[in-house]
Amino acid sequence: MWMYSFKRVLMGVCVMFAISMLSFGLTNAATDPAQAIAGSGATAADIEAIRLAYGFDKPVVTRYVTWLRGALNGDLGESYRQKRSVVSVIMERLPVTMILGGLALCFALMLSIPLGIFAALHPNTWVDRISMALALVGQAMPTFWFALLGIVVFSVGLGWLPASGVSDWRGYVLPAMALGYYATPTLMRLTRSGMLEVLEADYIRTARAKGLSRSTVVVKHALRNAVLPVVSVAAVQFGYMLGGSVVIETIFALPGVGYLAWESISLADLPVVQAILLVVAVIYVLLTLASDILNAWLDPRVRFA
Amino acid sequence: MTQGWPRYGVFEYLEYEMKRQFAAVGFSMLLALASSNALAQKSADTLRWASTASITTVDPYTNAHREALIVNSQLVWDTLIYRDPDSGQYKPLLAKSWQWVNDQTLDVQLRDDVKFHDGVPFTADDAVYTLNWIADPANKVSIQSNVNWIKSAEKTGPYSFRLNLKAPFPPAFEYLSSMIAMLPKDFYGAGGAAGANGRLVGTGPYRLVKFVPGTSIEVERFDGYFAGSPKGKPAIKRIIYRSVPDTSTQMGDLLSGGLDWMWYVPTDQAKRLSSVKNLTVQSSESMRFSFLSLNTREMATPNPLLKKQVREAIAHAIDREKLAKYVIGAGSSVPLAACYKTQFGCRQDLPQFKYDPALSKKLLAEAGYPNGLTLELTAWRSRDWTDAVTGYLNAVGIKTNVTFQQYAAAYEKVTNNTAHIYLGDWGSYSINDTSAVFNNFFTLAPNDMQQDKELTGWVKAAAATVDPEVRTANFDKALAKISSEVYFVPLWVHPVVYATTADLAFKPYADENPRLYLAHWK
Repeated sequence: MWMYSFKRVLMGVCVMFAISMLSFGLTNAATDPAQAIAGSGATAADIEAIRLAYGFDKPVVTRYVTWLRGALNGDLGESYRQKRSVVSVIMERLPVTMILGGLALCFALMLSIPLGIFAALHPNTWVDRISMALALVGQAMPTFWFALLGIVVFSVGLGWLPASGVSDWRGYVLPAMALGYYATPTLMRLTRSGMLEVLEADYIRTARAKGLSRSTVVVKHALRNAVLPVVSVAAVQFGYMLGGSVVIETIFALPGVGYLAWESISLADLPVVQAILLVVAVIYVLLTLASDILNAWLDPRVRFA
Repeated sequence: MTQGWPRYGVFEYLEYEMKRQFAAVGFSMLLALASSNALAQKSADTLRWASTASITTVDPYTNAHREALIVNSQLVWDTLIYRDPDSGQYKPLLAKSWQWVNDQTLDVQLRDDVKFHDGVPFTADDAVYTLNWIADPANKVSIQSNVNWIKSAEKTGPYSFRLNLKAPFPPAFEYLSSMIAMLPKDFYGAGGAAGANGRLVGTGPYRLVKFVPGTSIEVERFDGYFAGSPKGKPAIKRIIYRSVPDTSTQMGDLLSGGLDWMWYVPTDQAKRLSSVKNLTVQSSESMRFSFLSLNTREMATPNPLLKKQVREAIAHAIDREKLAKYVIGAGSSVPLAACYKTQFGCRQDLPQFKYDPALSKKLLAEAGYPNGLTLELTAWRSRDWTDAVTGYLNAVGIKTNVTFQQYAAAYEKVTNNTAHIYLGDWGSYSINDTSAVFNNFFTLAPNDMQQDKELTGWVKAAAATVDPEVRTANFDKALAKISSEVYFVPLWVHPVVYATTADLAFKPYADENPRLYLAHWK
């Protein structure tokens, strides 16, 4: 178990290095950061002045090594735009994204697990098909479209929820629903297939034979075993939600890391972009690692695969 | 209307198209469901406005966004001079008088009754600090062209100073009345962060209450604002700016009562929005105009635009009147030269290229392209508008490979000399002088797609003197050559569509500068 965990950690570190190199190279190759910082109103002389001031005239490799040296010491650089440490910029925004991700995951689980159970209890019936359809709509519908639809109905039409911002808890409702709905089909299908498999097991037959109520059999015995893979996949989905929050946070103007990523990319604030990619990669790798270790602990066969 | 897939990528194009279609349908539904619940914050005497700009620093010099550079800046800070938006006259603001000693030296006398929001008097020390700080390139003022004409400032008395220019700079007053806001002494400290001296204050009609980088700016009326300011005493107590990157969301906020003011409403939505009760939609012409810049440089492959007939064919292929009327929308018009009509030196008597597709085809044939040709076009502002232009070009046989990207990436194709045509626009930062256009596009810099030394000579001559007759003569020659050589094809003037709650009295101006300090509740 320890060797397995160690190997996964090592792989995670390699992944993070690779991501940092690729992201640094690609962001610097994608655009002229001096032009982006200067903006559309700048003259050529303005742009050149910025290029020299920020050191963009140096080779990319040199700049990457400088950045990496700082990152290994916990210094992710200074924001070109805000003129303060990137770490503080990100830490200000991270709580909103974590709250949004957490609420989105809760919404996804609250929707997908019951749907999965219903579908499994009534396989190949209209209940099953409607459950699948409801879940698939979430995956087929573009997230931004669902978000705008939510604004149309709940903000403009009913006036229940704000269209943007997080002045209070209501500001999280629509974004969480829009973000969480996308993860529903995966979790729902996993719940359904897990339940179908478990419901055929001998111990379930035994539980029924003992006269236990249907709800006890389904929830206490079947679901507890069927939902284990769902928990590990949910951990990975949480990482996905953190990365996918860019669109949702931008539409709803939530001051989170996703919105910060959008701003920083638009403004070519490369230190912030680089740091966000690293932070999201770290979180994703940690969640995947946790999921792998959990799976290995639950199913020893995985350790030797 | 675009020939083939745009170069920037199928996925990006599909994502854009889907978002545009869905947003249009979604917004139509939004309007259909809109209740008349567009309540203003009149009861709280708070004007809430939004824009797409994410303001990461609140001061006017480390910003490139108009929202911070101009709009919020004029609420919190004052300039030395005030340009009356109605009459165009320059009036005293923080400066009570001034005299040109020579073309490069301006003596300024300041008011002695102005205080910053923390009660500290505004003096020549503050003005001299501000001007010397922004003039130093090491301090990385974002838009250098706004400040790089300043050489230095020296104090001549407690309320007077001398401003030294690097060279004669005719539009100096335009900048002193808009871009050059006065800050407290040592405002940036040693590190360059705004308010590093602990005094994030100004002398303006509003004081800064709360700033959340990238999210919001809250200002409150400053009751100690000096009497006699041409800005007047503001009527509205509080103004809150929020960054809302998606325009559809802004419209949703406006309709649901979460906002009182927005601008840059898409023109295709303006008409529908104006049908909503309790909202006022106004379209105002702005100084921003779109144009095609035609590349007359030698490129890596043979450049068809080196032939004047090809450039003339492009100019005759586009029905600018129809574009302005039906595509761009109310408030738009066709510019008659490569500048905005109110800018000093912008002549309006140049011969115009009439829409004549048959003539375009004839010119292409004469140039050796009877079967048409393919050109690389780069653009970034509006996909719809780009499609409208390329549709006209396509109709006469000029196929275009359109690269539609973020501004920085699109502009790189200009500086790297890989685009034949650049569809761009320019707002001149509301500077009412033709030099604000020329000094950006015709300076022989990498972004100068024409590299015409004679033209640049006239541009420099107009910039080197304050004599209006000499300047006008040089601008006339420059504009005539730009037109006759078809370096630029001016396309349309941008309207800016403002949408506000009906409770709010707001007057837009053509300089794209919303003066929120003049707004009031009805």
